[in-house]
Amino acid sequence: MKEINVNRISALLGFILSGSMLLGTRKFPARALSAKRYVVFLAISLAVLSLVLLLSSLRTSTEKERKIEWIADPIHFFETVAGVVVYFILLQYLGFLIPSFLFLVVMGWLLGYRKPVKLILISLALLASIYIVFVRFLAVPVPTGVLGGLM
Amino acid sequence: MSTMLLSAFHSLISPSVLLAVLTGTIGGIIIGAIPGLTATMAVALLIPVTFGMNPVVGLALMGGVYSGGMYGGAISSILLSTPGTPAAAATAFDGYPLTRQGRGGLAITVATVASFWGGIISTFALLLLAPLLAKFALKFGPPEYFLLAIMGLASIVTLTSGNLIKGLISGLLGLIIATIGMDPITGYIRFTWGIVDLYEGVSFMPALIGLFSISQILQLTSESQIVQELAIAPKRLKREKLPKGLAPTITRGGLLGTIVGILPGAGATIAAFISYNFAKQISKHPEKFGKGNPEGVAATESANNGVVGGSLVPLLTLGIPGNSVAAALMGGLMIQGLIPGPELFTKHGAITYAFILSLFLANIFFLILGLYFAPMFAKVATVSNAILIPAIAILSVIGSYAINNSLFDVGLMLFFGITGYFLHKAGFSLGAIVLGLILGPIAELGFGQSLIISNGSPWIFFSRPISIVLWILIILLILPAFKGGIMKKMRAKEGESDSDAAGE
Repeated sequence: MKEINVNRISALLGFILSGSMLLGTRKFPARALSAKRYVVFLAISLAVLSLVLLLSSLRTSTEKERKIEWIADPIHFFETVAGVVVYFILLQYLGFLIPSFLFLVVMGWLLGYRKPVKLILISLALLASIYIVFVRFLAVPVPTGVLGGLM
Repeated sequence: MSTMLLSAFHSLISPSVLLAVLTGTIGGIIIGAIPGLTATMAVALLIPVTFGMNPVVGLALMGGVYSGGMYGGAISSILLSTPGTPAAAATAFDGYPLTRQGRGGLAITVATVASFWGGIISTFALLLLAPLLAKFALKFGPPEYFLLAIMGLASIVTLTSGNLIKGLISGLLGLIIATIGMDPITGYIRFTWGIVDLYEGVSFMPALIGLFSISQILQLTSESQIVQELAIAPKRLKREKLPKGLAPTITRGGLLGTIVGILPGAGATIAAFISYNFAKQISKHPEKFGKGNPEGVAATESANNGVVGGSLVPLLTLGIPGNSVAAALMGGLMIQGLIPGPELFTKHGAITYAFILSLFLANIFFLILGLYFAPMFAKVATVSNAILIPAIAILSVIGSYAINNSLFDVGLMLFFGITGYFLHKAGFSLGAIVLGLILGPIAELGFGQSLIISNGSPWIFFSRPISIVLWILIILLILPAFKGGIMKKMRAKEGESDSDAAGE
């Protein structure tokens, strides 16, 4: 997609956001006058900037505009996004340690590290150092999961 | 001030602070040396970890990362010809040719010593200038604080490489996201869609980590490994003494970096390039630049480390972060309950001065580490992205979970990370969004209180002398960027007509 079209879409989204903010302020009670004023100020500023963006994009010729390459390597990109989302879901049930180890090994493999033994050893070492430094030494809390003690 | 300095010095020599500075500096050098990873990301990931720490220890850790990160970029620039950070890009001009000539050891020595002195000069400037500016900030009232927030945003949007309007919209988006939750004056809850976790607002930490860290690793997915191998084996790197005659270049670079760092909107990359060009212009042998001249390395490295102390002057005194690392650092200060401004130098003086003094220490640490272990850090920089990406994702999860022990925050971090990736691709500034989010409550409070004082008249923002000065500064910040945009368009048009003429 050309950047100019992205600018036009962004401007339209800006108008929609600004309009919904203004509509939202109608529900504000009288006691929240200062909050209302501030939100109205932001909504109007957004509408003005969106208008400027729209006008400048309408005045520019589309031919010379740069094309945006949204995702350079779709396979690795979507694998990473999916991996992170699955990791997040597993964290809620299994706690920190097991999902983190699985995540390190599976993502390492998917992203192209093809030495399984070395990958497992590196993952174990990394996780152990993260656990010792952050959880044990610095007492940073990590998700425990619904299964509790498994961590 | 002297009493506070003394107490700061006492807290600095405690083993925990020394360890924090050392760990931060090592971590910073490694992160800085790995292309694709930034000091901003490191500071963002560290903030939640510092939450439970003594403020001095936490800030010393982050200061170490900032200083180490700024220096670390030079190592990969010199030994791998791939700058670890954009600020070290100019270092490769002369640093890598020196390595190819078998004099990588000399380049590392020059870069380390120049970075050290650049850092020391700028930290001295911070120590002397910041309290003076902070005293001036005592005269500020609500309208001025609102305008300061606007000025902070104006400063960071000038850094936006592409469209200035999109930079401004990014900052505004940050301010809009900050309106979610309770309003700071009346406590009215808005835009939460019934989600209880949003009642206290969008926590800026998950947003900061998501925008600076997750979006960055998504960016890295398209590169299997940025650097392949070292140009020289670590063991073959010969240690050389610092050549004579570099002192003026280093001093100039350090001062230039400090000044550029103080100016909101400019950053380490700009400082390094200005310093390099200046050194080349006044040199008796400009033809030697770009072919392995140690003076080129000294000019860039003293300037980019000079920015560290400089960028902290407006941050600590006025709450205006000059660059994205400083914006992340501001998050670190806020999380400790330290609001930038005069109080940092009075009520919290002992902590602030200890933080400033810890920067001197960080410079000494990276001087020693750089001179003796630089090749080892370069070796770390060749680590595969297949290992880096999941490791950073795990650290991001730990960081976003730690503040509120909330998985909702982890989800929020992922949302910001993925959305941030696409916003960045579309040309929006993630730094400006984060800054808007951090400055949002300050801006809203200043805006609301000012209008209460003036009975709703917006004239209050234009009638006070300091407000007028701040408006002038805001215009001065934005104007060059607009001018630059217009010039760019004019040049493009001229180019078009030139090529048309050539075609004819």
